[in-house]
Amino acid sequence: MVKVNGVNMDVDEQIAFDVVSSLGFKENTYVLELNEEILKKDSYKSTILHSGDVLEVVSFMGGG
Amino acid sequence: MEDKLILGGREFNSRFILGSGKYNLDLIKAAVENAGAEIITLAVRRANTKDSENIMDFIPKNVTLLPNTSGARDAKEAVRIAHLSRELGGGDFVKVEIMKDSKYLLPDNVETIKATEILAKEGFVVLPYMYPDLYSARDLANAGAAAIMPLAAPIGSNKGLTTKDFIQIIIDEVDLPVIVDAGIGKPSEACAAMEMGAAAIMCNTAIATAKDIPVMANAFKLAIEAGRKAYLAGLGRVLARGSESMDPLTGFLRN
Repeated sequence: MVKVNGVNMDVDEQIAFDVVSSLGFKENTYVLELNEEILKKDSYKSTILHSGDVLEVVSFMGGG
Repeated sequence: MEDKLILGGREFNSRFILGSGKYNLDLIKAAVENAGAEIITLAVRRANTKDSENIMDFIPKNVTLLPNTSGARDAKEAVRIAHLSRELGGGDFVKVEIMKDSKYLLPDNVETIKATEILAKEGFVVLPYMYPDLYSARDLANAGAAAIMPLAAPIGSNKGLTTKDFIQIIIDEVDLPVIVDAGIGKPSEACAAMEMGAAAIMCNTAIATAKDIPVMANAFKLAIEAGRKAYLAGLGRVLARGSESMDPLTGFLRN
């Protein structure tokens, strides 16, 4: 299982970009953090998720 | 006369930093335009697929982004958020905002100083949000802050300049721009802070909770400009007691 934005998902051995896209996130609107390390954008399509990984999909929102 | 706000070596004509929270995305552009703002704050959060629109599409391109680290409970988390904001294209400005307490949302000055030091060394232009304490403000200056952002009142409260005397001490004693942040509820309060010598005002809730957001953004713009001009002009003195006529006393009437 991989934890994606706090939710356990059965996406072991899948590519990070594919998982995030299947969830409906649009390219170039987010940044990925894997196990508290920022992933470089050019590695989204080559990064394979493994069991126990924690993936965060973050973006800008309104704030003060 | 040229009167620029300089932050991290960059010049700004506007002294109004606008927050982007709590209102509809389609109002952001109008608010920025009516505010004349050149800097807008943003937050970094877990992305949400329910939001079909991206806030970045609503912010005019000539505006400098000031991502904040809200949500951070210590220096480490603030640094992590700052790194994410830079990767998101937020540039090198960051408003360090660290709160351990979720009831009053007061900034933790000690952790804020730590995060400021780390991020300034990494090349960020750091604008720390802080509780108005002189010693902390000095520590932030020594840590490499580009400005100091003391709170006027609890965040989102619209209570006004409740920490006025302590902000004045920081303005008088710390050789950095002081940007009054949080709690300002009315244009008159923004004006008063500018008259005191604040370098700029950061405001969100007062505008977001107004009935007419673009008009209130403009009211704040005018008040901030008026306060700045009054500060530059130098306020007239206040008599401790008594009065002083502005007119030549017409002695001939008494003879």
